[in-house]
Amino acid sequence: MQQADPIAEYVAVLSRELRFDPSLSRRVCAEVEDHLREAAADGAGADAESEAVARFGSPYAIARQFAAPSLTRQTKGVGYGMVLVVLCSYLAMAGRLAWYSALDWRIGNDAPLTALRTVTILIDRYAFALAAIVGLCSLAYAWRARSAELNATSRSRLRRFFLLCALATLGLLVTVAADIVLTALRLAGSAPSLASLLPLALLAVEIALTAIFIAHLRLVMRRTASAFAPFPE
Amino acid sequence: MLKGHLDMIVLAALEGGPAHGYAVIEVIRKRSGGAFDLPEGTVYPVLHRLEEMQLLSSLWATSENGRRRRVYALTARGKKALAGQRALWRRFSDAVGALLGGPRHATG
Repeated sequence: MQQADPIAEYVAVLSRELRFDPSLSRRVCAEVEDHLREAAADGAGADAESEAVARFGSPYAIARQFAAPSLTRQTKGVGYGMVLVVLCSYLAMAGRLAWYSALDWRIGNDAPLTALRTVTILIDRYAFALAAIVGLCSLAYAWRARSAELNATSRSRLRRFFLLCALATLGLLVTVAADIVLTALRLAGSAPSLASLLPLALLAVEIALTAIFIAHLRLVMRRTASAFAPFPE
Repeated sequence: MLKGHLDMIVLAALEGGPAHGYAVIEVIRKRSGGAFDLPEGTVYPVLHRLEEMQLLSSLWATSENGRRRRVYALTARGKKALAGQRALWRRFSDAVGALLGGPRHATG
């Protein structure tokens, strides 16, 4: 049966195959549709549109050629995002400590709380160090592991990159949890005041940035998985 | 073999002035005497890659029939890269020609 609009059908398939990069997909599909309409207008006969589509080549193969550079861009973005979130977390922690110091905000000497605080600070430091070191490694790996095409090698490189990101994210999550505990311990020992707002705001920024980063990481992982989806037979 | 030289071919096709993807394909087909009859879609990943390498620039324009189209042009860096690749290709072509005993490329 003759398709109603082979060009629209082709562009829809290409758009679906380029779903790993929506902005690239919009641009490429607009270019391709213009190309196919012009090619069909230059052709003759009732099948000019179908012939233009046939000459254009497989949408799956074309999408694959766009995938490797796009995923390289996106993984680098994740690497930079990770380093940025680690840096912001450090600044937020340093900002809170500077604030406590400026206000001479001391905490009580309640023995169990002091022990909890000491342990949490240790966990915080090691988790932050893990996030910072592995985060930098993941950025370096994203640069080093660039691939010109999608294949088994690029797949395993991306897998290793996401593994590094997951490890750094775990460090970040533990850091944020420790910071929540430390801030709660600090604020619990004092009467509510306007002075509490800055540490709370800095903590909120830290939590929000970490949450945004995790959402972005998951999005890029999903897009990567879709780029590696097998061609339909 | 053609695949390995697509970047140079696309740069050369844009040497005559800015063009959109369809026009690039037409130039390649005509200037190669129909020898390079590529699947037309293969040119777009190349155009995008060359743009990312800053060898090409591009912008949206409106055609006579009102359709929006992306027009590509060589940048100064692209012209330099093309000149380099052309010189390299001529040396390669001369060397292979000499080796195979065929006619030497005129470098005039």
